[in-house]
This record gives sequence, C-alpha cells and structure tokens, in this order.
Amino acid sequence: MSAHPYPTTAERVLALGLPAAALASAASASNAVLTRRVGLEALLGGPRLHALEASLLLALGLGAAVLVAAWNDWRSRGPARAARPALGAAVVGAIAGWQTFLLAVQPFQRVWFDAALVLLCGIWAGGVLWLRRPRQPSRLRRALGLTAVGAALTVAAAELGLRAAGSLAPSALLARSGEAPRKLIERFRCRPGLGRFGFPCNSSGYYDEEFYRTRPGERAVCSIGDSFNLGSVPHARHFTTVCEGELGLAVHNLGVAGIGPREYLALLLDEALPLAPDAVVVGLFVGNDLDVADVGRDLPDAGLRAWLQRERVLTWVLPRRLARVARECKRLGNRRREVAIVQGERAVAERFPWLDEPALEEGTLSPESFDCLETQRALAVCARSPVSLTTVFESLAAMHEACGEIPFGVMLIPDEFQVSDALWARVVAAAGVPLERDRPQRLLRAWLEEADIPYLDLLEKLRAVSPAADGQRHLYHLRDTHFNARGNDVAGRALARFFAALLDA
Amino acid sequence: MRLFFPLLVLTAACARSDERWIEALDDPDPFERALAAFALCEQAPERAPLTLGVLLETVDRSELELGAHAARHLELLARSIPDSLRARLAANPLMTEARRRAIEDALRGAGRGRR
Repeated sequence: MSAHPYPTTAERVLALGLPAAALASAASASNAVLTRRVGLEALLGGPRLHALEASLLLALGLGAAVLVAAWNDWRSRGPARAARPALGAAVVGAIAGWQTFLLAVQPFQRVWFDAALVLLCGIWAGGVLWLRRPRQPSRLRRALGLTAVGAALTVAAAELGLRAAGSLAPSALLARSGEAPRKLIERFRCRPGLGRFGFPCNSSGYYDEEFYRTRPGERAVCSIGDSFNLGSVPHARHFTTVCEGELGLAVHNLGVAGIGPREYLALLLDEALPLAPDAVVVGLFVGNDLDVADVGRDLPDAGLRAWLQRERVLTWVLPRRLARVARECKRLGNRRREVAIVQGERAVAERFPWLDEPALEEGTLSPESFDCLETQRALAVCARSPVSLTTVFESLAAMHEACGEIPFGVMLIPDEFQVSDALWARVVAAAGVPLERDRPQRLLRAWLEEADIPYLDLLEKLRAVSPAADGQRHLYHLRDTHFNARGNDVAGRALARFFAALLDA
Repeated sequence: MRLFFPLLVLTAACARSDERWIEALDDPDPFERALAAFALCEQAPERAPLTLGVLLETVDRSELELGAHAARHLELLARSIPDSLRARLAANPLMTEARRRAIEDALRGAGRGRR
C-alpha cells in the first residue's frame, strides 16, 4: 500500500494534488448548480432541491476534509497516506460515475452533470478518508482494488476501441448520433460495384449508372435522398429511372440510406453541383427526416455530450442494436429475403415475383416491430413539434441558396401510415394521444411556400391511387416502410412532371 | 472543516440576477431556456411576459415534467397578458396540439378564456 515511510515526490504531489483538483472541480460545479437554484426549485420543488443542496454541501465538506488532511501530511513531510489507492479510487469512481450517469441521468443536461460531479467528488473523498485509516495491508483488499481498476479501464478501453473501429471500418452498427455529415455519408454509402437486384452500384457507390458532368448542350438533373433514393426495387423500376424515361433526360440518383437533411446539403455541395445539373430535387421523407437529424446540433458542451449522451456511447448502443437484430431474426425465423445477384429483367421478375404481385410478398419486419416503428414515427411528427424542424428548414434554405440559378425543389415523401388507412387505424389505437395525420406536410408546405421553394407533395398522388380488390393500395413493400414497384411508379411519374415544371420555370 | 463555511457562503452568494436569467432565455440548450423561464417567472413576475415564447416551446417537452411546469407558468402568465396568448393562438398555424391546448387551458384558468 502507499503507507510508505519515505514517499516519493510524485506520491506527495499526487496525495495533495488529487484532493485539491477534486475540491476545485466540485466547488466550481456546485457553484454552477446553485446559481440555477431558483429555476431548479420551480422544477424540482423545495424539498428535493434542499436535499440536493445538502448533498452538495456534504460532498464539499468531505472534499475539504481530505484536502486538509493531505495538506497536513504535506506540511509534516510525513507519509503520503493512501496516495495510490486514492488514484485508483479516482479512476474507478470516474468510470463508475460515467456509467451510472448513462444509466440513470438521461438525457444529458449540464446542470445534472455538475451535480453528479460534486456528488462523485464527495463519494471519492469519503472513500479516501476511509482508506486513510491505519490498518494492516491485506492481499484481498489489494486484489479487489486491482480488479476494480482493471474492470474500469476495460470499460474505457472497450469504448475507445469501438470508436476507433467505427472510424477505420465504416459500419452502420458503429454509427453514433451527431456524427459529421460527410462521415455519416461514407458510413452508409454503398460499396462501388455492389450488386442490387442484378444492377451494380456505380463507382461513387450510388444505385445508378455512372454519373457524368453535363457538357454544354447536354441536360441532366439530380435527385438527392435517403433510402427511398437508394431504393429496394430493381433499377429499372426505381422512381428516378421511371422519371428518366418520362422526362427524356438523365436523372442522377444520389441516394444514401440512413442520412438526413444535413447530409443532403453535403451531397448537394460535394457531389451534385459539380455535375452541373439543370435542376435538383431533394426527397424529404417525413417519417424520419424531421425527427432524427442531429437533435443535438449547436448544443453546448459537445465534448461532454459525446461521452455522456447514451445514444453516442457505443458500449451502450451496440448491444441494443445487436439484440434488436437478433430479436428480429428470431421473430422472422430463418426466412431471409432473396438478395442473390441475378442478371436481366426477366430473371429479376422470376426471382422476385412479389414485385408485380404484392400478395406474394413476405414482410421485411415482423408485424410487432413494424407497428411499433410506425407508431413511434407518428408520435414524433403528428403529435408534437418534430425535434429537427429547424435543422430541416436551415438545410433546405442552404440548399436553395447553394443552387443559385439552378432550379431547386423538394419532394415530400409521406410515411406509409399517411397513405394506408388500415395502418393509420392501428397507429392511432396504439398511440394513445391525439394525432394529426397530415401535420408534417402542413408544417413543411407552409414553410416552403414562405421560402418560395417549389415542392411536390406525393401524399396527394399516392392517396389518389385506387385501392386494389383487397381494399389496400399496395404502394409500399410489406412491413418495410419503403416504396414498392407500384409506389416507385407513381413517384417517378409525378417527379418527371415536377422536374419538367422546374426546367420550364 | 475550516473550508466548509467559506464555501457555504461562497456558493450561497451566487444567485443569478434577472438580467442573467433573461440572457439565458436565448441559450442554445432548450433545457437551460426552460429553466431560465421558470426562474424568471418566480424571481421577477413583472418580467414574466418575456418568457412566453420559451414557455410555449417547453410545453411540448416531456422529460422531468417540463411541459407540465411550463403549462402551469403559462396559466399564471395568462392573467397578465391574455391578449398576447390569444394573438399567438390565432396567428400561428404551425402550433402543436399540446401548445394549443395549453394556451386554451391557461386562458380558461385565468378566467378570461374563450373557446
């Protein structure tokens, strides 16, 4: 143990420096909490606030007591008692405090972090006072201490390792919310040459033919979007290909699954505008583009949030993601959707008969997961203000400005619950709160009109499709949330008319 | 323990002024804005009308019952500026159902509401 009669200088500095640093941090953090006491009293109520204040002051008192004891050791040039165990306790306490914060204090708010820091310093100080008691060295205590430090360092190393792996090998499983747009695009972009329904992605990783910069006299347009642009139908049936046929112009399809408005802006600036297009249309899916696009944008304490916001810590999100994948595999049994590469449209039609006959299709998600997902999406955009609406508006305004003289428009893609009445009935029953079905379109249309940005609202077009004999419109893949071939056909024809109007304007 | 009482005095003397709370109404963090709005309503009721915008945005938030607290302060506010609340109700077509209901409840609670 550290009760060495002749402590080294490093031990002496550590023995005094640790309590001093802890007390300084605790004093600063408790000051930050107490300056907010009027607001906190309104929020927590008097008794809870007073309990918090008493805890903070007790923690400060313990910190002060440790510092005084360490100062006395320093002045008397006596043994630096418990210096090493104090360091070990600081490491274990920091990691345990971090994990406890992730478990119990979410979402991250600076004031709770400050309060937690003071309490942690207090607990640590109490532990150090206990460790300073004169006692016989014990192998068991030493072994337990080393085990605790080892476990704490393992947790930290696991997180660092996963983050490093996520940076080196892009994987959707290792994505963290709040990543920079370019990083997210690279993570989710298809591998060049990847075969989808017998069609290889181009050299830029897009589900389209090779892009080219428009030369004088040539005309081409760009369509930017997320998984709807990536598509889950053969290339010939994708809405941009349908649009291309109707329009008689090349439509460059820049689609990357899992991205949102900030990434659309990055794609426009970095990849679409260099192609010198004659018009650009960005597809906005109301089901998730208004809700998940970097809700932490511009928030202070970005560094702390990167470690203390649960969704950003891979050791927390990765097990949940893996568990979700495993649960979904279990629900669906061993059945897998066919993804084999086949050549030629006839071969594709033979391999995927559900493309033209929706009744033959098997659902992508289990019924439970699909209804749960759709209900969550409806709650996010139909019951309250979508959290990323400002981000959406700012990104669209920036895209509009970046296009300058090039015509720019927005295609509003509805969620399936807005088109399928049967699904809407299930969502309303599950939500338990009043929902306004067309609310996202109402918000977006009002803003787009005010910003003078042309838009195509696919909701009206899709609702205008006559239901089949079974009463369903069958415009989306079964329990998948994306357009099927029929949905792509409707979207492609509408997009062609929209592009034509943009080019004529 | 010699440091304890000076620290106690130091931390107790750190209450924020009205101006600091008003500045905090523009904080980029919506939680800090909400806290500032609650504090200003408690500490300086005469300046509470400045918090109207923040209280309305906070009505939509569910964590720590922020929305319920905002609705309660809105009701107190409705007694002094019912016309501003009515104007918000009439002018903003993008208002959520929760906000609309909170304003209507506040106006009713203040005894001047109109359906």
